Amino acid sequence: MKISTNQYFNMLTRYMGNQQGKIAEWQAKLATGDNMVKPSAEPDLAARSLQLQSTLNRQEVYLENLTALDGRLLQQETAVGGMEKMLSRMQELAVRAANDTYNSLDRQAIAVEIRGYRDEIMALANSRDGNGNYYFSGIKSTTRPFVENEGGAVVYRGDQTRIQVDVDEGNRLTINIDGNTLLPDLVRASDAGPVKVAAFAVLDDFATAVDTSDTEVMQRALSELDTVASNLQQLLVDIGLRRTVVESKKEIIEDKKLVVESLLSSERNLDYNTAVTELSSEMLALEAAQSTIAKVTQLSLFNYLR
Amino acid sequence: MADLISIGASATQVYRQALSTVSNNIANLNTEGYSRQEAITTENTPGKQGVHSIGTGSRLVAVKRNYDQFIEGNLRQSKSQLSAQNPMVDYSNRILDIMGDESSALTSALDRFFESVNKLAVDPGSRALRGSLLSAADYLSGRTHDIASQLAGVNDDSASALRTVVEKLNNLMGQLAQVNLELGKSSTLERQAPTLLDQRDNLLRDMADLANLKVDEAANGEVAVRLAGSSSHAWLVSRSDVRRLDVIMSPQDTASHAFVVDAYGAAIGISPPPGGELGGLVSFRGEVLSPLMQNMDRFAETFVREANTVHAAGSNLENQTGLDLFSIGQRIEALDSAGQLAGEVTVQSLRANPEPIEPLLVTYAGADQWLIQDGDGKDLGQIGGEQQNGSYTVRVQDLELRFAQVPEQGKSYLITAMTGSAMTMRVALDEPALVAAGGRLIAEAGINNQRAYDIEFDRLAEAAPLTSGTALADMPGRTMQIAASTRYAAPAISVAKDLSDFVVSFQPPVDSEQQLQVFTDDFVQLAGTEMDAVAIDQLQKSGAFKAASLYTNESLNAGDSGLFYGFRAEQAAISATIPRQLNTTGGVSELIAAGDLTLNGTALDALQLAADATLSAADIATWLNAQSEATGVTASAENSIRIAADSLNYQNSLVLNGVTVFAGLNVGEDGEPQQLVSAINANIDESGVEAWLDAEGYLNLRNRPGAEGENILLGSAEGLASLNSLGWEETLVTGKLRLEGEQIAFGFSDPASDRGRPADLSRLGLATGIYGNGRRDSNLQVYVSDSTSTSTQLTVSVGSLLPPAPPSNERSYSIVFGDDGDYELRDLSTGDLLRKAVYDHDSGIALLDSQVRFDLQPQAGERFEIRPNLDASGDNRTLLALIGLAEEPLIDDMTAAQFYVDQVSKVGTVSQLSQLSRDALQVVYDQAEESRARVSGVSLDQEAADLIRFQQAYQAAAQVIQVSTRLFDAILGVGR
Repeated sequence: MKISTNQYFNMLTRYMGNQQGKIAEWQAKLATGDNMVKPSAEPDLAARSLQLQSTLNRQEVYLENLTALDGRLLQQETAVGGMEKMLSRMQELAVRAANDTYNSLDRQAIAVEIRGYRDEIMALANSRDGNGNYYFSGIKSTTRPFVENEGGAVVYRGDQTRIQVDVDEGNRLTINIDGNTLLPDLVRASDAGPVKVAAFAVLDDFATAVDTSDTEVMQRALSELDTVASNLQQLLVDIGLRRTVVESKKEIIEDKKLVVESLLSSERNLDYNTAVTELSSEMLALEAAQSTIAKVTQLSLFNYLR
Repeated sequence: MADLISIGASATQVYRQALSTVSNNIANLNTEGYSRQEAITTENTPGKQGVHSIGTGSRLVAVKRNYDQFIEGNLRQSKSQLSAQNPMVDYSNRILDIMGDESSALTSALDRFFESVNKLAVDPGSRALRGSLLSAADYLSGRTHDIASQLAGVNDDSASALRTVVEKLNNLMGQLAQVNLELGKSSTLERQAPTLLDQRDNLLRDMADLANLKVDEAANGEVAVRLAGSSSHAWLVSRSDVRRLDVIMSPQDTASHAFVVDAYGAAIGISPPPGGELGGLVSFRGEVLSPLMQNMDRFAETFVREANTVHAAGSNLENQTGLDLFSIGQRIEALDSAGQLAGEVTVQSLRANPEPIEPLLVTYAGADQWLIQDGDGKDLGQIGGEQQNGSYTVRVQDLELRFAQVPEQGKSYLITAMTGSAMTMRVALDEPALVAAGGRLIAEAGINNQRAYDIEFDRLAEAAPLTSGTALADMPGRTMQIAASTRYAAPAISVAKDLSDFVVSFQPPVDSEQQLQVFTDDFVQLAGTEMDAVAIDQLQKSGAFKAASLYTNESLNAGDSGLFYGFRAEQAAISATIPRQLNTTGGVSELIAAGDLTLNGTALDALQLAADATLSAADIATWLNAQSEATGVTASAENSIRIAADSLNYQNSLVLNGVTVFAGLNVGEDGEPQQLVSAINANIDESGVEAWLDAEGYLNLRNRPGAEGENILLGSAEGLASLNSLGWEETLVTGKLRLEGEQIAFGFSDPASDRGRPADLSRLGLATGIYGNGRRDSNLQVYVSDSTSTSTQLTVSVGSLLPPAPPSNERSYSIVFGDDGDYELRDLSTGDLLRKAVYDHDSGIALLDSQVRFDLQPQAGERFEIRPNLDASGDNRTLLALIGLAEEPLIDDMTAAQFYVDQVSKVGTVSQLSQLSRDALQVVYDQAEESRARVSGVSLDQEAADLIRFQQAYQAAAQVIQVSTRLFDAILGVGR
């Protein structure tokens, strides 16, 4: 079957060109270590790769959220823990003051101490974060939660809304403790029936009772202080639980992240062994093509015409 | 011998020519499109010598061109098909590189945006994080804008490539026509110069690269060319004539391509798929680029709309409801007179949130003056242009046109909106404090509530449409009559809450108990009389009210619902003719009890009618004027009658108010109107009626001055049943009431206890209506009631429909739960009852523009207050809703990121499939080329062999000549 000279040479140059193209591709892949040097080189991989990258980004976001969340919970835990300590000191003082061996002067001194602890508790209840926002004010984070009014009573000026964040798809955690949950009102029996009393009022009444050596009120205060203290202890347990949840969620997401990362890498990361082998074989083919072209093109009938 | 020499000579000739042909082949080895030539020899006509034929040698009969028409055709076809794949592959890859690269893909911009929202949600009080959110939003809109711009760039590039290809094609066609001209000089194919034919085939092959052709070859080698699949009269080249091919594209629709042959002559449109590079570009633009650009626009518009809707439901640090977070507008461009994009001018909208514009035509009239016309050619005026910062700008409406230099006089541009909104996506907020992180509303539990509830606010769910009467929203600006029945089966009229103003009025008979009953669609009654249990049941069954709503009439006729029930007018009003009301009781009758009607707030005294009297307009005027100082309304009455002159009958008599003013003429006598007029006026003092003729010849009667508004009794001297001069039987004509005052408002003091009813106003000739102004909180359902079942006519006139109100930051509500599983929803600031309904735990409670849900059903007596969420910088509820957008199927049941990846994947698939096709078609093309080369290609080895052959033959032929010379010498030597 006859083949024209032009055709012949064209074919040869085309083969060499193709071969060099393939070699260039493998070189680029080896240089970048990436299966997909640019999206048009691997069209089917492009879309998949975007999807996986996006999923990976989302896991990163959840992890960041959880870390920030844990930070806030820790701060809240510290504040509540501090309040609880103050309260237990007050309880100690309550027991001491109830002792009949103390006289009124002693009691007055104790009252001063009690008032000191009460102020500490209020300061802790008004804790702020790095941005100057209050922790325990509900969503009114620029409003100071516990404020003394003109009568000297402490009023809660925040609100009761729970703030939540996403920690996983469809999973939300509450991240705050509002003032009413922190120091809820107590119910006190009185002649006019049960009456609601604010926690700070309880502390103030106790201090006054000690100051004035009012034993009846001091007795009542003992049980009331108990209620407030056990509330705070319950809150500490709560926060601890929440932190545990956050921790376990973090682990789950770390695992998920690992899975996605390995999927992505299996698609994108170059298998160097295969790549080097392929490059060598293409180079070999090119060499063979070049040497055969050189030899075969020398054959011509004209060489034999004297 | 002679023959020997001639044979030898002819042989050498032949072989010399054959050798030339072979050398020509060798010399043209590299010539493109060269077809190998072969010298064809044939035997000379043999000579006769006696009975024998003796050969006389050979001659060259033709230089044959090795050519196979079928193979050529095949080659052209496969070339076209192969070329069609190239644009698909190249441009798809380009798009894939733009959209699929991780750093530039929208998915990463979306991820960054949602990441910033998430970060802010954990710490909503942080100003720095708010600023980051706006940066991320800016990045997202920047990326969207970029990708859309680059796609527009691909659009422009592919369009200009298309035009270039069409030009190339036209060029080649021109050259082919020239070749045809040369070919036309000879009538058979064999006589044609091979070079010419090679040139022809070269041109055809180049053209096949550009488009799929149908080539018809004539007997002499001339070709006629048209696009494959088009009809034969859409030829492009025929003999030496050539017609131009043009492509018409639309700047607004990337997929539209029209091919036209001979656009300047009798244009013929063709619509076959063109094949070749042309076809590849058309397919790419129509199948890949156009849907992609539209989808990008849809993506941007949907995302912006959804994000803005979520954001608008929130509240920012300035306690405002969320403003738009993103803005997206229309792309506005200038088109030149050919309908193509005018590159020399850029158009910019000067407004932040551009709205759709109507097309404008601007023409430069010279001397810095521009004529402006609208899309219909109507003149809109003139505008001046000015040099500014090195460029020439013109400001038209809200647009700025910028030219690099002053355009030519008379040049005009069409300024119109185009598709491509994705390019206009921007962030609309620049202040971190304006990011609406919190929710709009906040719930507070009452002090005595038994437990704490988890309360959530949602967007208001779409309500199921309710049965309604004639919907007033459908008839803006019109006045209509509607028939209505007085049963409660269905409302007569339904008024949309966004209707700016409306009047529904009727005029019941003077003794009827008809009332208009107006309810909100929460079954709260605003006007009318109290409903009894039977009526309530019927109304509920009519389906016009929300299913769970219970009937309440706390605000019945309260007057502060924005509705007015009664008669209302400003400045002046004229009543209808006063209805006939005759007192037959024998004593004074009280038509309207004292205090039943109020006028501008003042209770009106009783309207009394003397025994045997008929109420006249004058009576009413007197009654009203008695209190006009308190009411501010003055009344006057008038009574006039107008009769055409040819209805007059002069033979009859005329009695006015009991006074015979005209005795009637005799039979046969003619009368004229003036006679009647004089006769009437002669008795003006007794009858109290005057007459005159007006310009149109009508006879007019009215009360004499001082007696305006009194009734006029028209009779005949011959008795009740006879006709009088006016052509009527005895009639009592009542007048009309005219009211004047700055504000005229007749109200009912208490319709619920029957103190004042519409029939009372009818007595005065006035219609009773429900008047509404401004937007209301809910739709209204209007019924007509009567103690008997009848039907009546309602007149309605309607204002315009206002756009729906945006969510408001000012409402507060109270919700109190009752004993029967029902609740009362009130406006907290006014105390008005908005709804009393049965509580449905699944659907929660719908407020006016949002919805509230409780985690458990609250118990009887529990109370909640819902207030605007002010100063709540720690609230992140709107941010959580914004985060939710990432997972919500926004477009085509896919999330935003999925939709984008889907687009990338589609383009990737096209690229891959096109590459596979291209590889396959390349094989086919290579085979076609090989076939051709086999027939028409030059092989050096073959030529070398031919060279040797002909050389030896030449030498042999030369030898023949030498032999014949020797023979001749021998003959010559015989004589010596």
